[in-house]
Amino acid sequence: MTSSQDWGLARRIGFRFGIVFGALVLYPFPLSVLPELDWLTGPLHKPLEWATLWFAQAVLGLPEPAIAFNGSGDRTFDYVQLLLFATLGVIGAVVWSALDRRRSYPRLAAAAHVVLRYSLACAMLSYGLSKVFRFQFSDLSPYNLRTVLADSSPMGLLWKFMDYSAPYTRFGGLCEAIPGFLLLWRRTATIGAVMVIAVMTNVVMLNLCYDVPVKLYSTRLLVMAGLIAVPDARRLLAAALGRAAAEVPARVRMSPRRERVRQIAKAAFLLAVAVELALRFDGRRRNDPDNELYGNWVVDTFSADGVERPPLTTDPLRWQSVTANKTAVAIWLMSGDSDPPATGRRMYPWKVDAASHTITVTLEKQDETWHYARPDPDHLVIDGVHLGASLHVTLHARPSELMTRGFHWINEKPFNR
Amino acid sequence: MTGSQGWGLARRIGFRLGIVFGVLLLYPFPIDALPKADLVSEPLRQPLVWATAWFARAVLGIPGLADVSNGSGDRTFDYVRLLLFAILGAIGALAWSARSELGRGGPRSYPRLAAAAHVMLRYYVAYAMLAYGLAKIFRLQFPPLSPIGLQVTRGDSSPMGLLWGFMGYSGPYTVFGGLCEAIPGLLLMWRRTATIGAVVVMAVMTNIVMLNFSYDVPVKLYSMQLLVMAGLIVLPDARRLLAAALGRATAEVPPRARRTPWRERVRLVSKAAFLVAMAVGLYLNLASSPFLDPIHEFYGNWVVDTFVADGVERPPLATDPVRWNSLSANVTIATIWLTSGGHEPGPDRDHYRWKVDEANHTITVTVDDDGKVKEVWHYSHPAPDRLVIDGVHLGKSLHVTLHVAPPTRLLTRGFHWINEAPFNR
Repeated sequence: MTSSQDWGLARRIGFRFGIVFGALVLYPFPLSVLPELDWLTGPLHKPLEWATLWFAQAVLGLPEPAIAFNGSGDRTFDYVQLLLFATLGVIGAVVWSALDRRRSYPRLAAAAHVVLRYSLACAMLSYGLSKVFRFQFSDLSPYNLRTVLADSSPMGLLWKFMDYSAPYTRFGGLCEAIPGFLLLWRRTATIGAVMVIAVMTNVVMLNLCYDVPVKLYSTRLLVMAGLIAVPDARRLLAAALGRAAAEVPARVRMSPRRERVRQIAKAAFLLAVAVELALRFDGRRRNDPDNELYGNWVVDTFSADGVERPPLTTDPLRWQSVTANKTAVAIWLMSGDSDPPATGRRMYPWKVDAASHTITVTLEKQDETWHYARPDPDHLVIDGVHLGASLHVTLHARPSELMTRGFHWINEKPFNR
Repeated sequence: MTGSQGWGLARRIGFRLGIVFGVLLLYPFPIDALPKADLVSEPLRQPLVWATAWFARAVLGIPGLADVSNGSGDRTFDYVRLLLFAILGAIGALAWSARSELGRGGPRSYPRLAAAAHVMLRYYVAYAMLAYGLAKIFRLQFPPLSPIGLQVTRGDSSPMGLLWGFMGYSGPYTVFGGLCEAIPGLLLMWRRTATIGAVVVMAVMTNIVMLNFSYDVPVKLYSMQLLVMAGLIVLPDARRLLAAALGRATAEVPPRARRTPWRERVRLVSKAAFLVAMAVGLYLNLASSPFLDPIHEFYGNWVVDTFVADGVERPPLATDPVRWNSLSANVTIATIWLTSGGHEPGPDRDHYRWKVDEANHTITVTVDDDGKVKEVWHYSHPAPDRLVIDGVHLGKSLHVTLHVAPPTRLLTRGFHWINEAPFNR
């Protein structure tokens, strides 16, 4: 990429397209990875947002696409934006090619390589650390333990698979963060990029196969890693096949003063990125209080308005079990098990106060306050008025096979169910 | 590894240990990779099985260890065998070193033995990766999520079951995983491409070792063995590769010394013959797999509408220990979820081996663990979404009507290029 000879026509045009398209895709990097700059990057994003909305409606004739951030990177908006950028890239490349007589762009290519490295490094560090610190995937809740695989979405299947294992999630995070780190230095960038190619190929496949709406973004990161590795690809392949490989010429040094400025700027940038990551992850730390009822409970007896109701699966009122998450409760009705779960299950936000042994359940229209007692750690008694009926419910704890299995060096036989 | 200079003392001793230990570990490879070789390889394996059982009993005081294959590679037996091989390797290396080092003029390096060991390692890892890769590509290791698997709560899964369900859901991802194993396996078969293959195996097997440790999959020892072997294959090239990746110049690897044309031809023919034999062996293994049984006409989940036992209809009371709530019909097994169950473990969920005969509309159910007590039920299909079962089950004459369970969220979601919002349930 930094060869001093003339480039071929196709390479020149392709390069110009890549620069215009890439600048649009990465904009406003590096401002987007610096701390406390949301007030600036928000407005900077606006023109591209407006252009995309205009393009969607005026050119493509689509209804106005939603732009609210909701965790999906594969919205109609994102596809339209990609198409817009590709179109602008083509127009830009045509205009540039018509006006510019230069035969190669070694310095611009070197600069683009640096920008690619840093932006990919920031993305991999951010994803990696959010796995290492268990933000992207966190602990399996009692509710997740109570549901069958059939009622998951494919994305939910992947999420709960990862949620279960903290060690595996952290391993996955390190597989992203370590190559991200290696990308920050020229010498180690190729190794980092090759590792990113391996890891992101897996992530792209997971996103495609499990309906995770990060298909475009993960593919973009994979392509960027490929572009970073391209200048070295031939040498690496030759070495792997047992052939000789030449040395990469060392970077041309600038004047000592400019080298010092460069070093200080790099150190300042890395520090700023580190601060941004630290602030982001610290702000996202979950402080949901654990409550002493956290877990799954099976109903033994159920009285409504003084009348005990037998456990008939045709009874629309009687509870079958209670799932106590940190800030929400799910009540599974007797009539629910064979129906779609939405009809056989009620979910409410709740708050458990261990001091006064009360539960505050938030229904649509009003709050209910229930009282509870713990005759022993495995049993629970709930008294309260729920939806107009005065309830007295006794329950026992339901341990989970999954969470109690643990690690085993020796398995006399596989335990697969 | 093939340097012609003298090796250091530590390297010589380490190499001898590796050879003795490795021979024991790989034995009787490559015979066990050939088709229909069980007849030969099983008797060949027996002495090591006896030695391990004896070692466990006489030395470690663990009686009754047997090499019963049940899918686990992390049995006590496997750990004892590993310990035995390590001890024999140490004894072998000591004896060998005493002979070579104390006598005058003993060899100072083993370039030819090292080259042979390298070839052996390559083929062994290649065979293992191809076998695992093909088992994924043809969906034998991770068959599609079964009706039973769909109805199990996560809390009632084991960690291994969680991984199996996760993989079983996605055909494309399982095939991708298989290709990630089979392709480097292929690359290991040729000297030129072996290093690339071994590096890819290291990446893939690191992930698998982590999965096995994190999800209680009892293939910890064997997956680590493959990872270490891939590392040993890369070792001679590691310094060159790292230098090239760091931007430094690297020398060419000298080509293999050719022998006489006649011996080269023999080598080529025997390699081709071995590869063909291996391919046939892999194919026969796949073709004989029980997972390829065809599914029957009511494979799926069924919900009980009415349940009559000995002529009396039983209401859906959750205290009734007999009434069925639903039926998960796999190919060769079935789970009956009792109304008293509510996803409780133990007696509220009955699990049987069964065989569906579509021609006679009968189901043969094996109700005991020894496979001796069998029941024959009759079924009819009044409509594609209706099922009626009649039969004597555990002494009671049953008449059960069922309807097909509604389509599941998991299996009906499908692929979406555009997601206006994530669908994460």
